[in-house]
Amino acid sequence: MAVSNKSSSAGRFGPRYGRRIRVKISNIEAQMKQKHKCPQCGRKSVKRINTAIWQCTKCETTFAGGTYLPDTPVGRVSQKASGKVGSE
Amino acid sequence: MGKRIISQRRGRGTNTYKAPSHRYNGKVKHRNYDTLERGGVTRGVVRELFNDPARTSPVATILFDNNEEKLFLVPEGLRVGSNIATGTMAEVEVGNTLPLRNVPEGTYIYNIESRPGDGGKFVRSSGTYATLIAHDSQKTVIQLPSGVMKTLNPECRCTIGVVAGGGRKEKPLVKAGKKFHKLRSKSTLYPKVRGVAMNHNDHPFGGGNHKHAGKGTTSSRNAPPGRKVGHIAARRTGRRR
Repeated sequence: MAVSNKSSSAGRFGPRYGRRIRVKISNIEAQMKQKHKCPQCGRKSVKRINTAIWQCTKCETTFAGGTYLPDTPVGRVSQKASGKVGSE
Repeated sequence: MGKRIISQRRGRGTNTYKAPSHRYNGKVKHRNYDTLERGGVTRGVVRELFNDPARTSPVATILFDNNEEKLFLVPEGLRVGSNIATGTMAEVEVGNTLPLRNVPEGTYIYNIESRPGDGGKFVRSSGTYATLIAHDSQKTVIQLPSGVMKTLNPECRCTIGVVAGGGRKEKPLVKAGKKFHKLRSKSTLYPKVRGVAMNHNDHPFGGGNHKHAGKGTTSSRNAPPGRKVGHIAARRTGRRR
């Protein structure tokens, strides 16, 4: 097994289930656990608190996003095309 | 005497096969189809976002101006504390609910009604959207996520945007056990045993030396329970040529 796999989150599977699946899992989980940019205050402190629910730890903005990422390509397009998402 | 097949046992409606609806948050529908909805606009504030075990996307509680509280299917990007509007006079903005006739062509929409006032039937799973294709005087054409064009009454309501929770299928389940637990929470039978792999008394296709169905796999729409297995009322079978 490659060294990079050992230290990533897919290490819990050991050598099982195939390389492609383990790489996919480790990529998605690593991106999910990163701190993301807040759409409200712009600081890099958005964390995932539940499936598709994201919260900024600084300004406490809570918003709905993608299941494993704060936004998806299609969601971005729809927000750009149809204007703002509500108003504060 | 053969045993009852699984679909017959499911039909008894006992706990094994019942959806765990006591865990659900409630029905997620558009506002009641009243005069305010048909002629004006109701505004509301997003109070809370939370996970719903009944569906693949999160839901929100909305407190409307008339003190009405409702569950709402959330679009991607909606924040707690933001305002949304519902009704004929609502603006075309992500999160607002309005009749199809007021929506411009090419807009992404979801939670679309089949008949005006039914509260929303189509495009409700996470990350999905339909596109409004064309307006006619008496009908509106939308394209569903499957690619099918659907003609609807222009008074049917829809919400603007894309359902939150996109990219759900990108992460592999990895293990059969994970799929088992996922489907158990939805009371779907898993793992599913093939009829051919069963014994004579368990299934019409069971038994015999070497796994084979042993009889025609198409069955009539009117076949009795217990025989109604395989391709039910198939229009055609075999490879498409």
